[in-house]
Amino acid sequence: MDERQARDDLKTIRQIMDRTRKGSAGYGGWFMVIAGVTWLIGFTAGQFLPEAYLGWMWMVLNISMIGIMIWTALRWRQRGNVRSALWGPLFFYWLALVAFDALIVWLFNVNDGVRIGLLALLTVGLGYVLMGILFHWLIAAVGILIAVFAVGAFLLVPEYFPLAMGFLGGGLLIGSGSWMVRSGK
Amino acid sequence: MSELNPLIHQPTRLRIMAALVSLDAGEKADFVFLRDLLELTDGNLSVHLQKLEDAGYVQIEKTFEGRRPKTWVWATSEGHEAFSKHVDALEAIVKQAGL
Repeated sequence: MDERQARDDLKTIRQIMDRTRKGSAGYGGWFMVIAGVTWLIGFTAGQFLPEAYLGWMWMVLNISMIGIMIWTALRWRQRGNVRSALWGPLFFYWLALVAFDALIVWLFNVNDGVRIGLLALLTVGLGYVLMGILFHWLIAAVGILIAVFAVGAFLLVPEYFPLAMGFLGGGLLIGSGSWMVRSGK
Repeated sequence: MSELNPLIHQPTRLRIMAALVSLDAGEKADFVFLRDLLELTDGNLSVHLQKLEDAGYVQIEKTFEGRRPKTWVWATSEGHEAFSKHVDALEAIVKQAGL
């Protein structure tokens, strides 16, 4: 094979890979945007609402978030281009992380809302890092940044922790999720 | 040094493998999506996929969704490795010519 044909083949490979990635882009980016909007609303409201309402508020927000995510996944599935065998296991993976957090809160009698929030955020950060190892470096980077923002806000501005996480964490998820959607990841 | 893979070297099969290896881990592509993406006919794609499956480079799964038949395709780990070696061989040719 001559050099010119080798170059042409490599160019063809790049074009096909690009086209495939754009045509098969999944809903991971959308999930991050949905989660980011939920955080922005939830944490911002959490800054101002009395603590007695926070549990209910987060329950309603999380149920809505999960419902929207399931609807998004089902709509995407109907497109039928590419299917992942991993989304089912990933759902149980996140469920296991939530159960782990609930167990920690119960066993160690954590009743401070800010500390519960910090624990949840660090778990989400860890969850994203592990997912990022499997899927895409950006997801891992988001996980690390969530953990850094959470610890930073907790130590530096504890009285504004919810607001900080709403804007920093929520904004990070919305921004990175939007980038993934636009670039077909 | 890697050598060109004669099976993957064929232009249509090269494009099929390029499409399949660009999927994420655990993903599989719909036959119709692949056909339209690569602008092939059903028959043409089927023949080449069969050759790649016989070599162990791809796996094909035929299912039903309701009453509609669905065919899913993905590259195996052997397929990923063979494609990667083929690309290495192509890059070596280009690099050699540039020296």
